Parts: sequence; C-alpha cells; structure tokens
Amino acid sequence: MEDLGRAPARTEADLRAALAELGRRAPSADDVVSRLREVGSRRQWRSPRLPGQPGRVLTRRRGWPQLIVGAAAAVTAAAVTVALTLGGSPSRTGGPDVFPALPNPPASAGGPPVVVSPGHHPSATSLARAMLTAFNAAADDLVYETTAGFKAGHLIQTDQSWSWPAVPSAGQLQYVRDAFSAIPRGASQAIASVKLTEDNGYTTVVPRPSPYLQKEHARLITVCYAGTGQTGCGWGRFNTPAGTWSQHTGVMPYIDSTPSPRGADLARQIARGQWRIVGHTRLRGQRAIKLAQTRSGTFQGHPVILWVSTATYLPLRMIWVSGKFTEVDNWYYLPPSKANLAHLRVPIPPGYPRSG
Amino acid sequence: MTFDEFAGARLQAVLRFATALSGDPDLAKDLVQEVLIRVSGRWQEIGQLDRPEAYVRRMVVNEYLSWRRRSWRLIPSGMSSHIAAPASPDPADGYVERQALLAELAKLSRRQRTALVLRYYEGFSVAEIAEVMGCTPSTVRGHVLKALAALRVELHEPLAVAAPSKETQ
Repeated sequence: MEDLGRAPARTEADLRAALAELGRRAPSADDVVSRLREVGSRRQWRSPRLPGQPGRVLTRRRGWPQLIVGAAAAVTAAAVTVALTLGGSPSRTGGPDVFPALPNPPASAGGPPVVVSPGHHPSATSLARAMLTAFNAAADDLVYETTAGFKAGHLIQTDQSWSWPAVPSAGQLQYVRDAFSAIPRGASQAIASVKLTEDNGYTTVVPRPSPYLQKEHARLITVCYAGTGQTGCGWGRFNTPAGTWSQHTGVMPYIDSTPSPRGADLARQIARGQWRIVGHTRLRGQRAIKLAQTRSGTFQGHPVILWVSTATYLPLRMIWVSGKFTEVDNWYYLPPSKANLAHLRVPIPPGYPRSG
Repeated sequence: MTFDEFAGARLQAVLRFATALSGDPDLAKDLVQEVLIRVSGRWQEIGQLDRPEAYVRRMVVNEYLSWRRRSWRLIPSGMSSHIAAPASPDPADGYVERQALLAELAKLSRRQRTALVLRYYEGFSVAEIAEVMGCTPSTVRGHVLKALAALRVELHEPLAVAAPSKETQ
C-alpha cells in the first residue's frame, strides 16, 4: 500500500464499470453446455448417483442442450482433442470446405470512410500503453490472421493462420496452422481465382529468443493440394508431393509463426511517434482508431494504415500499399474455446494418401 | 419453469456473474458447469423455489469459495516501464486503468472479492450478501471496507443494509 498516497482514488462507479466489463468477458453458454454434456455423460457412466441423492440417476436431459448447442460444435469439440495431441494423427474427415471464409474482405484498400474527431484522440503514449495492456490480456487467446494480397486490385493470394497462444512465452507449447491459397501456376492472375494450395499444422515448444537459427522438437503436418500447378509443397527439408499429406515429428528448424508485427513492437512504434492517428471510424462493428505510418516508421516508402479497436485496443487491420501490390491483414483475437481451437486442426481431404 | 427453460434463459447471466466472481472466463466455465450438474439433478426441488436463479447464484458463490483449484494464471498489469505515463488523462487511459483495477481485484481474498462482486455487480445489500455468504452483516462490512481500501476506491455511499443503486448489467 506504499503508493496509496500518490495514486488517484477510484470511485465506486469505476469498480462497477470494471466488474461489468469482466462480466461481459463471460464465455458463451454454448461452450458450457457442450462441456456439460461431455462431463454429464462421463459421470453418468462412472458414477450414476449424485452425492446426497441416493437412488437418483444423473441422466442427461434431452432437449435443452440441443436447443443451445449446434451439432457442428459437438463435432469440432471432438476433433480438437485429436488435433491437440502431439504425435496424434489428424482426423481424416473434412476437407477444403471446412475452411472458414475470409471474414470481412476489404471493400477497398482505402477502408471505410473515416470520421475525424480530433478532440477525442488518445495520445500516442496512452494508446501504446493501452495496446500493451490489451496484448498482455489477450496472451492466451487464439489469434486468427487473414492476409490477402492484391495485384492491381485483383486478389492473387490469401493466407489464413491460427496461432495459439497468441503471445507465447519461451517453454510454452505453441500450435500454429497456416493455410495458403494462390492463383494456380500458369493461370492468368487477372482472371483466375485463388485456390487452396497447402495447409500446414506446426506444433512446437517455443524457444528463447535468439538471433540465430534454432532447432526444436516439433510436429509438422502438411497437406499439399492437387490441381494448383505445383508438384509439391516444401517446409524446410520436408517435401510433400501434391495430392498427398505428410506428418513429421522430430527436431527441425524453429519457425516463428507468431503474427507479425508483434503487438509489443507495434505499441513501441506508436509510442515513438512512428504512427499518427488520422481519425476515428468503425470497422467490423467496432469503434476504431485509424493510424498512418509516419516517415520515421519501419516500413518507409510504403503507405501503411492500421486500425486499432477502441473497445479492446487490439489491432484489427493493417493495409500495406507498394506500387501495384496491396496487402490486407486482419487480426481476430478469439477466446480459446473448443470451437475456436478446432481451427488448429489440419483437415485431410478424403482420398489423399500419406506420403511421409 | 423447466430446467431447459431456466438454462436457456438464464445460463448466460449466471456465467457473467461467475466470470465477475472468479475473474477468469475459463474458471467461470468450470464453476458453472460443476454447479449445473448438481442443479440438473435437483431441479425438481430447485425449480419449485420462488427465485431459482438466486439459489443457483448462491450455489455458484459456495462453489467459488470452496474451490480447490487455484488459478495460477497471472493477470498482467500491462504497465511498461519504457513508456512514460502521459501528463493528462485521455480515452485510452480508461482502458488501462480498468485493467489495472481488475488485476488488483484478482489479488483480493476470495471472500473479499465475493463480497465486492455481490455488492457492486449484483447490487445486493449488506444483509443479502451476509445471507448468501453465510456470515454476519458486520463481517460483510469488514470484507467490503478492506477490499475497497486495498483497491483505493473511495466510498461515497455508506454501507447501509439497503442495496446500492444498480448502474451496471
């Protein structure tokens, strides 16, 4: 309590607001019902009687769980157990159709219209502090990142990655899935559509930061899709022929798949004045601050725009423009629910043989 | 009201309460799940009560206070020494301050925290809190006052037996 004298006093309203915000972080009832179903059925098998209720059998009630939980949630909840077991084989169900669509594709590189209200901008320092706080609070979340690359306004490649935990510490197990889609080789970039090309699942223990190449024990699952014009997919020394999948467990070069730029780096750049706030807007249903990189920024020479949510102080979107090329990155910080973690599973298309 | 109807209508509210109480959505899930398993088995009895939800919340409180599992998850303060504090408050500061308050809340004893959540989240009176926690009103006052002092919250309303105004939810 040594700082009692200098810290500003809080009010009861502050406390109510903080508790209300905490309450809003409650998990979805669907998740609880789903878990309740699993535990309920397990307990029913192991111990049919409730303490203090001799003779009463705990039966899973029909009706209400089904009302709340969709069948899809139950399927994905079962699948994630497989996906999260090191060395386990991925489920052979599913296929490219299970990939979620890229949410909220940008209408244009310029983004939604900006409503500038200069009187309510946070300072760069306080914005950076809020973002650091938010990144720390979201450290255990699942971060879903979509990257879309455009050439002369035409979509030429996309990348979807799921990474959990969002901010891994050294020694922590990290699960990453990366699904890459591109225009098939030989097809016209101006008219062809992107096609799922390869899907990689990578699980490893995060090493301490080092400027040198590191090797770690890891598991790598690769699905290399056929019909993309590629003969195979490579990851380090592992090559997976097109139309097959492979799984390798062993010591391999560590690949840092945490979304970049890292949150702390972004916050430092903002604090150092490498970004300036250009306005307020709404993005993906949230109030957001729009920032533009200044000339002292890291990516000099390329206009870069960043949107940060003022509800969560986490980044929402970044757009890079370089000549004809535009890249749009979207970030989604998701609670690590079973349904969300199920996206870390790499689905093996039916009929694809294992090649390694 | 059937258990199906109760769960469909009130489960999310019970989860919000459990999250405010435990400070951790994952713990809240475990807490509510444990309670609901017992509730489902005793619904014929609980469903006959005037306020089944109040009874369920009381079960959540009891479960939380007797919870064996400790949360080892650290709630970071989010403060960074290399970024200086701003000279004047601005919109982003509110977020940081609220996170700091939540981090300090997590350091309170379970009974202090329970008393605060029942008072400032649920809007219960001291007498109601005492009933839920199974202690005397003076003990509740002690918990609330010590917790407020630890959090540096100024008390503007006297801790009367009557319930405080309910601004949130």
